Amino acid sequence: MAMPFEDIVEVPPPGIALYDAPAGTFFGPFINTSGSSSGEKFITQGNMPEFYSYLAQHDFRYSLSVSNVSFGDGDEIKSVGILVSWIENNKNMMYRLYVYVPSL
Amino acid sequence: MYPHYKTKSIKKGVTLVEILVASAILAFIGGIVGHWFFLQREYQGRIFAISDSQQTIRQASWAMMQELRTARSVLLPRINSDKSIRSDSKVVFKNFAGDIICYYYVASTRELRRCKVPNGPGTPSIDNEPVASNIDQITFTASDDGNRLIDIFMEVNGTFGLESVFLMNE
Amino acid sequence: MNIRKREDRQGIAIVMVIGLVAIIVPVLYLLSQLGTSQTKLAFKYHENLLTETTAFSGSNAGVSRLRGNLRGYQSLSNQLIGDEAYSLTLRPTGKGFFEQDLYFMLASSKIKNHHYAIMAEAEQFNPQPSPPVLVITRDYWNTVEPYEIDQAADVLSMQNDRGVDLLRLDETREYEKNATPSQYSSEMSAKSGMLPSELVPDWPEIVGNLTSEKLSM
Repeated sequence: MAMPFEDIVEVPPPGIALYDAPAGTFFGPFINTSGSSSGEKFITQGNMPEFYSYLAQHDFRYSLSVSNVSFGDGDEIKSVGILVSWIENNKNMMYRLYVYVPSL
Repeated sequence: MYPHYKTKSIKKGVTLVEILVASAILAFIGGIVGHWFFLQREYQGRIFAISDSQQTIRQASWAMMQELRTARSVLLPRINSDKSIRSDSKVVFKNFAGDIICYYYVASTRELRRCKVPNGPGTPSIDNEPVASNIDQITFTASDDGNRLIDIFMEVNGTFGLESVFLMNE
Repeated sequence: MNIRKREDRQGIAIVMVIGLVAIIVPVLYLLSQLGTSQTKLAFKYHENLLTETTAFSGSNAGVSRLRGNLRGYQSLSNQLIGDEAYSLTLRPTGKGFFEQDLYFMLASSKIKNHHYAIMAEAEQFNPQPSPPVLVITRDYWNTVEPYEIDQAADVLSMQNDRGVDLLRLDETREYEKNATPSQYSSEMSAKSGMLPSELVPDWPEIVGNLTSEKLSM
């Protein structure tokens, strides 16, 4: 889901799980093959059993680390760290990605 | 003079009893080792299968993302009239040069294929080689009203891929 | 009697040795296979993860700075992602096609024998507003093998590649502008019969979108 600039806010670790993700997060809703919002599907055990158990087994989560730099007059840049974490072979794994998002 | 040694010196090789005893022991050891061998082969096969699936997902999504990133607008899927997200097993977009590109899933062959339709006179052409094979499912989801954001969800042999692409060009 | 017993055991021993050798050889082969393949995979995965993270983050940061129309635009400095360093350089290449300025941004990182070089192409249309507005950025990267963009031939081939795209863009735009909505719609609809069957049901909707967004004079 496209996220408005002002909605990019800190999501502290351990973050939001990708499975059973609530509405309004990166992965909720996930798919919709129908022509209206009534057909929206979230990643739940019932909707996508295999994908759900894969995500739940490894406890995939994401969190955001956001810091603002302001240039005045509503001209801002957010430095956003996207941290994806999961558990594999009893080890805590993490993937980091940093992006700059300008307000203009 | 030494009849005992004489008789024995003629005998060479192994007796049936000796072979049977040795075979029984070997069968026991062989059974355990064979079972372990089988399990390890299976485990190794699984690791290679996962690695292959990941490779397939990477290659397919990379090929599509390269082209989508520089594309101008997504023609299908587009969000619903009530602004809810919309998913499809194909994505159709206008590429950097203005032509129409389609990536679509062929369920019968489990392939992802690419087709180019000239924006103007000319006939559509389908790429000879599939973009990827052995795909279990692929879903393209539109979630923004500017038609410039596409999420790609792919499953290959129980391995999953999630990608999002934002179109850079107007 | 003792000798007989010894000979019995000798027979068993011979068969056992042959049998065990027959079992051990394939087991050793399997063990060596498992060892090398898993170790290789583990190393490759680990190194790739590290280098990719660094390189992708570096290029993303760079591209974001370009798109963000950054102040200090020309002075992209080398930076750190975690403990790993990556470098960013920006090269203006003068006047490009169709009165555009072309810029190349190069982000690179190296860990052990993996070398990632990520190139983004940024273009600006004239007349340049102040500060300049980036309209196109485009990434290139390849893994493992170093990409030497310093070589003139690479830059040239990239410009040519982009040139072909831009020439075709000019053609498609001209076609859209010169055709009336009904001409354009019927030309595109007529292609329906030549499309793969998976696309046919959606083609009317696609042509509808194309026609409503068609460029006009």
